[in-house]
Amino acid sequence: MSRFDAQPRARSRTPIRARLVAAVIILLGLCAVDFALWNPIPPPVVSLQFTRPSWPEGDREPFLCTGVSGAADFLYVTYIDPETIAFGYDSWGAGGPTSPPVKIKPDETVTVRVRMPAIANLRRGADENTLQISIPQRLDWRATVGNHRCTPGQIEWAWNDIGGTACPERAFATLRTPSGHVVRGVGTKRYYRVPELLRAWRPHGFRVLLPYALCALAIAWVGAQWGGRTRAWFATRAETEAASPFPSRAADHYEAYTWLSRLPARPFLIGFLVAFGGCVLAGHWASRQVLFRSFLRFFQPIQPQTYFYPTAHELVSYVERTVPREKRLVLVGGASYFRGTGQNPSGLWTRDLQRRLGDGYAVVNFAIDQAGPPAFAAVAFQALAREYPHMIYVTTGGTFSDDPTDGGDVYRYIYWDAYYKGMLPMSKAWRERVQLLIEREERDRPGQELHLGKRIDAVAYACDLWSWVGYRGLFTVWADSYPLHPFRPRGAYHEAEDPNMAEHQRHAREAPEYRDLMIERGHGGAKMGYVQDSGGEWHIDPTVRKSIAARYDRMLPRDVRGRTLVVLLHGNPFFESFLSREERARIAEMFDIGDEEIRREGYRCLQVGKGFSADDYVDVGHFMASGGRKIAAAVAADLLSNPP
Amino acid sequence: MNPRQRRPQRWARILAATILGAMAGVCFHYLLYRLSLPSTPFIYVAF
Repeated sequence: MSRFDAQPRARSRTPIRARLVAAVIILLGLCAVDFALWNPIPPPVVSLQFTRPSWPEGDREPFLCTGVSGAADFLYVTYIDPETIAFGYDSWGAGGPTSPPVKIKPDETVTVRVRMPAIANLRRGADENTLQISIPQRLDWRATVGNHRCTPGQIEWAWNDIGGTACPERAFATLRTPSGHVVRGVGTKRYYRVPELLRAWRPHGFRVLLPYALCALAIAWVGAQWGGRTRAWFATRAETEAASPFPSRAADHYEAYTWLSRLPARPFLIGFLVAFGGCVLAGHWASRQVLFRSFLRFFQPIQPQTYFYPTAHELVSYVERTVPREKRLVLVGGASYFRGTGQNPSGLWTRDLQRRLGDGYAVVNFAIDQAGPPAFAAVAFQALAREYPHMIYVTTGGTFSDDPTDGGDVYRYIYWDAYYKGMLPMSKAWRERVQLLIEREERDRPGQELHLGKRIDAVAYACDLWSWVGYRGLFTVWADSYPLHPFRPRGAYHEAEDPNMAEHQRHAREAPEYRDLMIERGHGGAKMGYVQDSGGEWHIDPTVRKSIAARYDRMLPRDVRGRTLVVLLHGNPFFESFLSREERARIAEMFDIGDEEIRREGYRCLQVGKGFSADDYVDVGHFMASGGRKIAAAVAADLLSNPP
Repeated sequence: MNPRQRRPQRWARILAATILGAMAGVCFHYLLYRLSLPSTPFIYVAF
C-alpha cells in the first residue's frame, strides 16, 4: 500500500466523563480569571492606620490617589516639621485645599478616616464633592473639592503611578487596615485580605456562575470534537509516513533528539556545578586584582553611561594595591566638577594637587558624573577608612545637595554591592538607619530586584568577574556609543586630549539656549533658602538650616565626617553677572549658611571659586585647567594646614 | 553492537554532557551579571 492510496479516517470519541471533567476545569479557570480582574467597591469612608515614618525622604508623600493621568485626584501628606503634618488635596486641573496642621510624632500610629469624593461616588447614584478627614481628638476637617470619576481598579494606596506633580511616586509611611493588614499599591483589592475578598466576591460569583458553566460546557464539547478529529488526522499521517519509501526530515531531527536525550544527567549536573563554582572563584580572584591600567580618572568607556559598572571591590582593590598604607591618601569624589569635565588629562586638577602635596600624599580621583557626596567614591572611602588611618575624602557638595545614604538612583548599586559583601563597617545606630533604608527600597519592584541581585552577587561575584572580562578581554553589552567596535575591551580605550576646550567655553557663553537657561536657573537658585513676604522682601527661610543639617546628617556616618572635606564651588561670574546685586548677595549668603551647617554636622568644609575669573570656567560650573589649578591650590593649602 | 563498540560511545556521551553542563554553568553565572544591568543607562548630557 502506498501513501497515495486514500485511507479512511479513524474516528475516536472522548468519553462523556472526560468532557465533564474538562468543563469543570474550564469553569474554575473562568471563575479564577473573573476573580483576578474583579475589584470590589470600597466603603465610602475608608479607615486607615497611618504610621508616620521616622525618616521621610521628602516633604510630601502620596496617601490616596484615584483616577488616571489628566483626570485624577491626589490626597497626600505634607511633613511640615519633625512633629507636624498636614493633608493636602489636589484635583487635576483644579487644585485643592490643605488641612490644618496635625501633631504626629515619628513612628507614631494614628487612625485616619477618609471620605474622598472619588471613592464615595463609586456607589451607584452618588455625586459627592465633600472631602472629610478625621483623626480622633486631633483633626476633623471638611472641604468642598473638585473630583474626577474613577473605577475601583484606579485607586492607589500610598502610591502614585498616575503621574502629576502633586506628590512623588511612593510613600515611606505605612498604611494599614484596622485589622493590621498593610495596604500599598494599585486597586481596591489591596485594601482587603484574601478571605475578605472571596467573601465579597461570592454574590458576584453566583451571578456569573450559570453563564460561565454554559460556556465551559460548550468549550469542552466542541474541544472534544475537534480533539478527536485532530488525533485521527495525526494518526493517519503517522501511518503514511511509516509506509513511505521517502522518510521526511523529521526522522533526522528525531534521531538527533534521541541522541541528546540519551546524554547522562549526572555528568551534566557535575559540569554545571564545577563550572559555576569555578566562575565564583574566578570572580573572587578578579575582585582582588588591580583592574584599571594607567588610571587617571573615570571617563566614558569605563562609566555606567556606557554600561560599564565598576564594582566596589574594583575601586578598593585598585587603591589597596597601588597606594602604600603609610601614605596620606586623598580620595577625590563627587561629581563632574571634580572629575575634571573641561580639563584634558594632561591638565587635570588632581595632577596639580598631587604635585602640590608632595610624595607623602597619594591622590586618587574617583569622582564621576552626577555623583553626590555620599555616592560612588564615598563607598570606597568608607570601605578603606579603617585601613588608611591618614586618609581624607575630598568631595564636591552644595548647600542644597540632597542625596540619600546609598548615593541615589544611578550609583546606589555600588553601595549595596559593598554592603552585602561586608565591606562597610558601621556603628549600630547607622546600621539601623541602613536597615530602614533597605526596608523602604524593597517596597517597590526595582528596589526588590536591586537588593536581591546584590545579595546573590555577594555569593556569586558575577559582576566582579564579568566586568573584569569586559575591561580586559571582551565587552559583551551593546552600547550605542560604540557601534563600530561593540566588543572591544574597555581597557583598550585611552582618553584623548580635546583641543577644542576654548571653543566649548565660547559656545557656553554665546549659545543663546544654553546661556538663557543657565541665567534662568541662576534666578531660581537665588530664591532657594528664602521666602518672600507680602511686601516682596526676601527673608531667610527659618527651616533652611535644619534642612541642610538633616540632609548632610544622612549622607555619611558620623565617625568618618571628620575626614571628609566638602568643597562648595562657586559658579561662573560670567553668568552671575546677569543676576541682580541682591540675587548675588543671597546666593553668597546661602553659601555661608551651608558652610556653617555642614561644619556643624561634623564635616570639614571649604568654599572655592570666590574671586575666580570667567576664563577659569568652561561653562556655568565646570572648570578649565586654570580653574583646576586654583582649586588644587586651595584644597592643598587646606590639607597641608590641617593634615589628615 | 558489542560492548567494545559501546564503551567509546558511552564516554563520548559523558564528555558531551559534562561540557554542555559546564557551558550552562558559565552561561548562568554570566546571566547573573547581565540581570544586574539596567535596561537603559542614565542619560548625562555634558556641556
